[in-house]
Amino acid sequence: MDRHTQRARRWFSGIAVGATLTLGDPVSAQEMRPRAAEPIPEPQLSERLAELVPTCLACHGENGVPNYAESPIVDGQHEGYLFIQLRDYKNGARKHEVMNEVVKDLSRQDLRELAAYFAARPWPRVDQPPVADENGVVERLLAEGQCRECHGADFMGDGTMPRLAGQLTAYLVSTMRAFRLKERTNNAAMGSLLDTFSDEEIEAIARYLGAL
Amino acid sequence: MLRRSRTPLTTILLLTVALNAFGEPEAARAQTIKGTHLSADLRFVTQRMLDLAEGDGNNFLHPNHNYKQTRFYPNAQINTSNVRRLRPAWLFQVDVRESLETTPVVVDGVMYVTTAYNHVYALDAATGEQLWHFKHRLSPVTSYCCGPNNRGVAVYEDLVFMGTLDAKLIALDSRTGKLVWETQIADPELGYSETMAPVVVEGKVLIGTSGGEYGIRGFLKAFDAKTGKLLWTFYTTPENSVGVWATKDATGKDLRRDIAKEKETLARIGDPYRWLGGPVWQTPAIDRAGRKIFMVVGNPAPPLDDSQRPGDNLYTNSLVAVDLDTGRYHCHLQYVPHDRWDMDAVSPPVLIEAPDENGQTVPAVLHAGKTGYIYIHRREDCSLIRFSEPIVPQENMWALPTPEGTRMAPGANGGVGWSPVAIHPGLGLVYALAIHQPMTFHLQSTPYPGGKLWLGGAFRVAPADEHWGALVAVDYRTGAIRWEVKTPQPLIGGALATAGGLVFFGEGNGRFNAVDAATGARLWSFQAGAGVNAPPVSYTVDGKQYVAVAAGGSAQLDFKRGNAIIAFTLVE
Repeated sequence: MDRHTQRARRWFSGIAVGATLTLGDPVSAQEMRPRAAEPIPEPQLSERLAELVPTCLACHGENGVPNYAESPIVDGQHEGYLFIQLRDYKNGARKHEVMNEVVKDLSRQDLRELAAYFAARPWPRVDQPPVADENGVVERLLAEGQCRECHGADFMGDGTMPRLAGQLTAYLVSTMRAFRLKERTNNAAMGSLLDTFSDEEIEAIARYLGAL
Repeated sequence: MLRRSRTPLTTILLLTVALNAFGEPEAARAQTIKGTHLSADLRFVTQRMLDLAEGDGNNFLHPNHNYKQTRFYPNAQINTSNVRRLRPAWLFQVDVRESLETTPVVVDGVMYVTTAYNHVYALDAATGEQLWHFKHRLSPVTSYCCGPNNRGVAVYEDLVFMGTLDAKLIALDSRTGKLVWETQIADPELGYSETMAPVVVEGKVLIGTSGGEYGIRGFLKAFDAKTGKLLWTFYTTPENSVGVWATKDATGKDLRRDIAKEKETLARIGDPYRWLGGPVWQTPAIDRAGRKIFMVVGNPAPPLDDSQRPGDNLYTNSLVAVDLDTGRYHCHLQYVPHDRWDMDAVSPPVLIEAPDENGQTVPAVLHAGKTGYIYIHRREDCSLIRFSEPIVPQENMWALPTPEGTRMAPGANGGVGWSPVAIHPGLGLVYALAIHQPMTFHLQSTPYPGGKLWLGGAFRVAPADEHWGALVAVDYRTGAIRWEVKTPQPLIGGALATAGGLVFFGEGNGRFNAVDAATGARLWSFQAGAGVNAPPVSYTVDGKQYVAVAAGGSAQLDFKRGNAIIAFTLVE
């Protein structure tokens, strides 16, 4: 456990009083390979926010590769999407016991700055195993769900639409399932859409997108 | 270098002769160019030029060619007898490879085109050479459902106007591309965005809003062209949006409403007008003589779930006319009251002259519906004169959405989607790009999500092998289909008719076609290498007629993306 993770664990244990904290399974070395060393921009943040960043990195990864399978890649994600998610964690529209606590005392401007900061960092390479779309089954599912209409031709997203290409497969599965089970309710349209897909289809889509 | 004037008198006279040779009624109007254009500065767009655009065989000044939006170009140099010699004159590649829905606007040999994510280019329309490039700096928060689209600019005097995805209206200097002013139209965090081309009339820039899938309150706004100051707002959802509890659509089909339940809901939650949707996301038509603006208004929010929006949901899914000076309501006709299938009124309305029920020619308005009907209205009071035969299969209309999903055709893309139609006044025909794409409509009630995508369920598209498209020619004097050209994929993008007896339209597979306006016979085709899903235009520079179109594919129908603007002209 690196020092940021230790620090975050200590911090979380302080805030998550009475709550069972689940950070998911650590990601195995086989599943991910950290990207080659790249210069990461220095934070353009106030000292107060800069102090928070290590806490973020404890889960989301110092080099952008998350330390837990169900933590999403946030480095290089779109600023608008990150801001809306942080906003929703703050106002409770998106529920996550850790994230709700992390942002609860931050201002709207703080959230904007954090979103801009993480959006400016480069998207990491995680090299998830390639997926052969036998008989174009996944492509057909993506067409029927009109997924590209929002997430873009190459699933790179834009603005408040998240990039899905190369996102952690495990996170994609868990968040799509959470939409389906109405555990994640901050985009009801996704919940309704994913109701029309089976668990197996969700998993196949996640693997396909994760490998892009 | 761009030459100063591209419309010498000799050119105009030549054009006039050519037009007369084809005997089109618009030929006479083309002569008015003489009086209009031979001024010192031909790139300065006057109100008179905008008014006379219908007969202007040189420029393409409005997104739909003229205030009536007929998309009938009055030059016949390229025609049925020589169109086989049409070849690319130039190809310009924009910096953004994402769906192109732009209509090039051409002023005295300068073409203005927009791209996804709000870039604007000025090009030499004869050579494709770039004159300037403007990239709008989008704010991080944008909300749009169906691709980062932009459909083009409006021009007035020395300004070029564009609406942006982050819900701004901007004005650029037409010579330099420098920003002159920008104004925030609405809050993108609440679901508002701009994709439509504005229209300028009498110094006012008119623009609506997208966001029918986000629980917005739709509007049309007028801004001062010089300053960007808001002059008036017409809200498309009035404070009493209940209407007359219509149980049938405009053609008499039963909507399967539970009026008693709706009345109970109304008593409980009140009028839902504040987040009822009703976007105006296509350019309105202007009747300058009648002092009216004719717009079509989009779907109610959320589109699939009606449990929180009792009443007819006025003026969603309607043709609406408002006063040109004040924006005050004049009349409306609602095509699909209390919609549950996303049946927007969206293809831009067109002002025509058409016979009424007694055979008397009256000022009329035409709209091609997602429903698969083409509707003809009286301009005077918006009332319906007739509707056409269905131009696509109508299956299971209006079966209610269910949690498990109910299949229906047309699907939520139409019918006729946002594609502008074209008119051939001499033949009395309207040309519509049609979509056959059945969908299953899934119902799931969720509360207003504060600016997030709000569908009240989900749309699932039938497998692609069940889809097709058609260019359909309908006689708007009778409502009868005259001919159709079937295509393997749904059609989206728009049509252009010309005095040369041609209709141009593109396909998602990259084909850009010219057909005979009278018969539909395919006369010419070009493979553009990416979906041609934008409205074609035509213009004339130094006596040479061009046809131009964008080939960038479609996010909405997921046709192959590209980044080309292509101009064609005749080879010797």
